[in-house]
Amino acid sequence: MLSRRTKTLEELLRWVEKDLPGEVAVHRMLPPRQAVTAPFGPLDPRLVAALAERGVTSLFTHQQRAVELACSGRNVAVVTPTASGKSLCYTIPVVQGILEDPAARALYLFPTKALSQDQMAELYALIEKTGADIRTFTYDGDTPSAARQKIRTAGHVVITNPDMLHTGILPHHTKWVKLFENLRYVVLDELHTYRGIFGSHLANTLRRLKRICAFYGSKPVFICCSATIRNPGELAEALLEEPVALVAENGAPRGEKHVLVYNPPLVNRQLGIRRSALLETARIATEALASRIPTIVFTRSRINVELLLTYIRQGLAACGGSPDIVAGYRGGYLPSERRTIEKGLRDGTILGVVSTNALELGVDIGSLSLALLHGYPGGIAAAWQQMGRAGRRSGLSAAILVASSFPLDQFLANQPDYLFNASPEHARINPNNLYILVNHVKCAAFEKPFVQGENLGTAETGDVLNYLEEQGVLHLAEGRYFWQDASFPAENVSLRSATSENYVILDVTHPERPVVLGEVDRPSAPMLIHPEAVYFHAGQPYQVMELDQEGMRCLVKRVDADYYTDADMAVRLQLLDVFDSAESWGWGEVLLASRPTVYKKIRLGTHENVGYGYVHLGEEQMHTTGMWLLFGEEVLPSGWSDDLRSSVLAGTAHLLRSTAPLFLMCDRTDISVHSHVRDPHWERGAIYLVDNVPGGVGLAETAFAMRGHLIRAAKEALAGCPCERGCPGCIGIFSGESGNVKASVRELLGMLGRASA
Amino acid sequence: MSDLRNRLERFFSPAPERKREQRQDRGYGEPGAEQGQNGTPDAISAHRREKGAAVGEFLGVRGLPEGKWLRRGVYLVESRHSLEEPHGTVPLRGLGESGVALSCWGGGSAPVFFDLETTGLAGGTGTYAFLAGVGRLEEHDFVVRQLFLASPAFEPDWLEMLEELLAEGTSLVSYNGRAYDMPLLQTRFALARRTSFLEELPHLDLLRLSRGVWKGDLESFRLVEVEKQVLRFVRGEEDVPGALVPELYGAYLRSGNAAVLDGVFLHNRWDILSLAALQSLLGRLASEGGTEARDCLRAGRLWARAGETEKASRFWRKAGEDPTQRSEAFRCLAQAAARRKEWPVAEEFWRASLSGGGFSLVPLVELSKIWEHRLRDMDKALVFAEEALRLLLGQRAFLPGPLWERQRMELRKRVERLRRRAAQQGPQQER
Ligand SMILES: [Zn+2]
Repeated sequence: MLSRRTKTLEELLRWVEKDLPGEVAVHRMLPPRQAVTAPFGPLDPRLVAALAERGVTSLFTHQQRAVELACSGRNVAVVTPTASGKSLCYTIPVVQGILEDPAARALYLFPTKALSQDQMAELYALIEKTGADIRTFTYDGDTPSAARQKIRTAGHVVITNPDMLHTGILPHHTKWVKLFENLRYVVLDELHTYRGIFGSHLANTLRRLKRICAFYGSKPVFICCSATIRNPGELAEALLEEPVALVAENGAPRGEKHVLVYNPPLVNRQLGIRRSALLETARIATEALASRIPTIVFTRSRINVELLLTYIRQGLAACGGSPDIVAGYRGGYLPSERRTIEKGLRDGTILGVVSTNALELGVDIGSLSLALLHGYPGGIAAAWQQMGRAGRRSGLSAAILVASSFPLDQFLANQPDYLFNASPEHARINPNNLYILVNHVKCAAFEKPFVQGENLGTAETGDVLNYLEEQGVLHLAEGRYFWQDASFPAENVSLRSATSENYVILDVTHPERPVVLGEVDRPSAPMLIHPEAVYFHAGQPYQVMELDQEGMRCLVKRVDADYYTDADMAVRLQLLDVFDSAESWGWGEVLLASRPTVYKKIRLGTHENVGYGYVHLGEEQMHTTGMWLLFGEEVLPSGWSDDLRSSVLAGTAHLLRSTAPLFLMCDRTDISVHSHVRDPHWERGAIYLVDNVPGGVGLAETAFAMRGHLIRAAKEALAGCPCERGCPGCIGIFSGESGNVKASVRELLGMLGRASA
Repeated sequence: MSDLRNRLERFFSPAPERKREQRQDRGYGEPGAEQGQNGTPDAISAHRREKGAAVGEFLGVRGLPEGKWLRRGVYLVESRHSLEEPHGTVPLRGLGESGVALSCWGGGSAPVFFDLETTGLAGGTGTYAFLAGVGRLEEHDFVVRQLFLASPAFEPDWLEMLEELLAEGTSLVSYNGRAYDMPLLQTRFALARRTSFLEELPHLDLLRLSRGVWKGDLESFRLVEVEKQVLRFVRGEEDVPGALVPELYGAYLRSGNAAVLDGVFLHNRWDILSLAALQSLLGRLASEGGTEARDCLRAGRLWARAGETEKASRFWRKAGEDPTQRSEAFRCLAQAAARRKEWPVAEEFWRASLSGGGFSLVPLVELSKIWEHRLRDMDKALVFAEEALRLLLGQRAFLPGPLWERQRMELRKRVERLRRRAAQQGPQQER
C-alpha cells in the first residue's frame, strides 16, 4: 500500500491531494518572509561574544525592541510565533542585567515543569559561554530539599512556576531575602495560558509578589511572551496592572508554508459515514516518517495518542522502516521519559512525535516540517499554535488538519475559510473576582500584615480585611491586620481548577520488582484505568489488575491484547440548593457527578466492537455552583419534537457558553453548560451554566445577576453571526434531521424576551 | 458595600456555632471567656497582681499571671524551682556538668533552655511565637522566665528582649529547636528587617539526641511521651495539649482576657523543666553510661553517632559484661569493626554475638558475607548461609509472609551461589 520510494514534503502534499481517496477541502500557501534584523545595541562584550559563539550576530527587530525596552526599565509583552527566537527577548536583558550588577536577580515563571527544564538548559548554555559566574536553578516540587537552601541565597536566576511561587516561595519570602532585595526582572512566558480563572489567580499572585518586592525595596521589570491571541497587550496589562509596551511585529524569517484541510472519503454516502480520521492520520504520518520528514501529530485524547503511535509503528515496520523513530508524548509519561523523547527529537534519533497538546506549550524540540492535526482542537488560537509547531526559518513546511466525523470538524471541512478568517480567541481575566480576591488577601496577610488602608490591587481590599477580622482569621492591632489562624492559606488555594492528584501506575508484570510506569490524573482515572481496562503506554498494552482508590495506585500487567477499551461515562447534574431565583432564572449549589458504566473492547486496526463489560466504580463528584434557565411549555412550541427540543436547548446552551465569558471575564473552559429536555428537579426544559471549578468561584452567581445582559448578548451574537444553520461561533453544529436549529433557537430567544418583558 | 458583605457571607459563611462563640468572646469585660478552663488552679488566679498594669491596661489586657511589663506589649513572668526537687524522677542538679558532657552535640557549661509557643505549626511567614520560656541556673535555683507578647503589633520589641535573654548563657538547649524554633525566630527577625546572632550560638537539640539514644525503645518522640517514659513525669490535668495553644491565644486576642492562657503558661514552664531534666539525664548517660546495662548500649550508640568509636566501644564492651545485653553489644562492636574494615575482628564479634541467644539471622548472614567477600573462604561462607537458611525456615510463623518469602529467596540464591563458588574454589584450598 505504501510506496517504497521516499518523498519530499512537496511530493507528500501532492500525494495527499492526488492519491489519497479523501478530499482536500483547502490548500493555502503562506508566502515566505524575509528576516528583518537590527544590531545588538549597547550590550556587555562578554554577552555579545557568547551570542556570537552560539551563532547569533544580530537580532530580529522584535527581539531588539524587546531587549531595548526591558533594559530601559519598561515592562514589555512580546507576541512570538514559533521559531521566532523568543527566549532571547528575555535572556539578553537578564544576562546583561546580571553582568552589570552581579547582585541582580531574575525570576522565570513557566506554566509547566517541562518548560522550566527546557529553558534552564538553554539559558545555561548561553551563560556558560559568557564565562561569568551566573547561577541558574529550577525550583519546583522536584527540587531536592538539600539544594533548596543554596538556590534561595545563591541563585541569580530562579526558574519556577506560578504554583510554586504561590505556595512555596511567597509564604516563605524571608528565606529568599537575597532574591527579593535584588529582583530586577520577572519573566512570564506563555502569557496566553494565564486566562480565565487561572489568569485571575495569577494576577493576584503577582499582586502579592509585587507587595513582597516593595517590602524588600525592589521593583522588578516584567518581560512577557505570548502566543497569538486577540488581545495580548490588554491581557498583559490586566495581569500586571501596570503599563506594558507591546511588541507585536515579528522580524523572524519564515519559509514557505502550506496549510491543508483533508476530509477522509465517504464510505457510506447514504449514512454520511467517512473513513476513520484516525486511520487516515496514521497513514499520512507513516508516509511522512517513512520519507524521513520530521513530523508532529496532534490528537485530542490520550487513548488516541497511543492508538496513533501503535498504527504508525505498525505502518513503519510494514514498509521496512524502524518503528522507534516515532514516540508518544502526553500527560502521564514520567519526566525522565519525556526528557529522553525531547532529547531524541533534538538530536534526530526520533523523527516523529504523537502528542495531545503537551507540546503546544513550546518545549524546544528543534524544527519540524510537518504538523498533522487529527481533528480540530476546539479553538482558533489552539489550531494555529498546533499548526505552528511545524515551521522553519527557511525551506518548506506544512500543516494538515485531518477532519474527524465530529460536526465541528465537518463544518471546517465544508467552510475552511473559517479557519483563516475567524480571529483568535480573546483572553479575559477578572482579578477582582471576589472569591479569588478573598483567598489571595488571606495569603497576602499571611505573608505580611496589612496596614489599614493598604490595598491588594483593588479598593475592595478594606472591606475584605474587615470581614476576615470579624471572622477571627485576622487580628487588628495598632492599625495593622495580623494573620491569626493556625492554617497555611496558600495550601488551600489552588491556582488551577484541575486537581493535581495523580494515580501512580505500577507495572507488576514481575511482581517481585514493580516498576512505576506513569501517572493518570484523578478525573481521567475512571475512564482510562478502571479494573479490566486495557491501558496503553508508549504503544504497549497493559491490563489493569487493580485500581486502589485510597492509595491512588493502579496495578497493571503487560498483555498481548489486540484490542483497547473505551468506557462510557454517565454524567449527572443534580440541584442541591437554591440560593436565589427570579422568573425562570435561578442559581444555587449543584452536584456534577460522573461515573463509567460500561466499557467496550475495540479491536485495533478495524475498530470493531469485540465485547464489553461493566465497570463498578464510585462516582467522581464535584460540588459547585450553577445558574439555570427554565423553559416551560409556554415557551417551547408544542409542535417541536423532543429531538428538536433537545437540539435547540443544546444550541442555546452553546450560545450562552460562547457569550457568557464576556460578562463573567472568564475563559470558555472555566464554565460548562448542560441542557435537559426534561429536568428531573424542575420537570421541564432547563439549561445550566456551571462553574467548572470545585466549590465554584462566583461565575454562576454573576451570570444570574447579569441574566438580562446575557440574553441580550446571546440574541445579538446570533443575529450577527453570518452562518445559515449554525457554526462553532454561535450555537455549534448540528447534524441529523432536526430542522434548522439556528432558526428555532432564534424563535426561542424571542419568546424568552417576551416572557420576561 | 452591603452587597459585598452579603456576597462574602454567602461564599464563606462559617458554621453557625462558630459565629455564636465569637460573639461571646468579643464582649470585652465579659467573664464568659473563663468558661472551659475548669482545670485552672485557683492558686494562679489568686497570684495575679495588678502591679505594672499601667501598660497592660492601656492595651486592655486582663488576667495575666503575676509578672511585670518590660515594654509596651512585652510581659515577663518569672518562676523559681529548687534544685533539690526532682522533675519526675530526675534531679535538676549538675546542669552545668551535663551540659559539658554533651558539648560534642552543642551543650555547654551555662545552658539556656528555651521553648516557644506559637500561633500554629504551619510554618512560613504567617506563624509567630507569642510566648518564650527561657530557663537557666541562677545561684541555687533553676529560674524560668516567660516572655509574653501581648499583641503581634509589638513583636520587634519582644524579639529584642528575647534575644537578650537567650544570650545570657554559653549555649542554647531546645527540643527540636534546630528544625523548628530557630528557623521560626530567623523568619521573625527577617520580617522585622533585622538579623540575629542567635543562629551562631552553640545549640543542643535534645530531640535529635533522644532519637539516637532511645531509637526502637520509644514509640513516639513527642516531648510529653519522652517525659512519661524516661523522666517518669506525668503532666497534670491543667496542662493544655499543644494543639490547642494557637486557638487559645486567638481567643485571648479577641477578648483581652489572658486568663484563658493560664494553662499555656504552665505547659510552657513544664516544657522548660523537662528540657533541663532531660539534659541532666542524657549528660549522665553520656559520661557514665547510665544506671543499667541497656543504658550502656545507648551511650555507645550516642558516641558512635558522634564519630567517637573508641568511646562507643568502651561502653559496648561494658554492656557486654551483662549476659542479657551481650548479643546486642557484640553486634554493635562487630558493626563498628566492620566500619573500620577490621574483618577478622568483626567476624569474631559476630560469632560471639551468636552465643548471646536471640533471633540470630543477621549475624549469620553477616558472617556469610564476610567470609565470601572479605576473608574469601567459600566453604565457611556456605556453612553460615546454610545455617541462616535453616534458621529462617523454622521461623515461618514469626515473620510476615512477604518478608519471610523475600528473605528465603535471597538466602536460597546466596546458598546456591556459594555452593557453586565453593565447588570451584574447594579443591585448590584443600591442597
Ligand atoms: Zn454562527
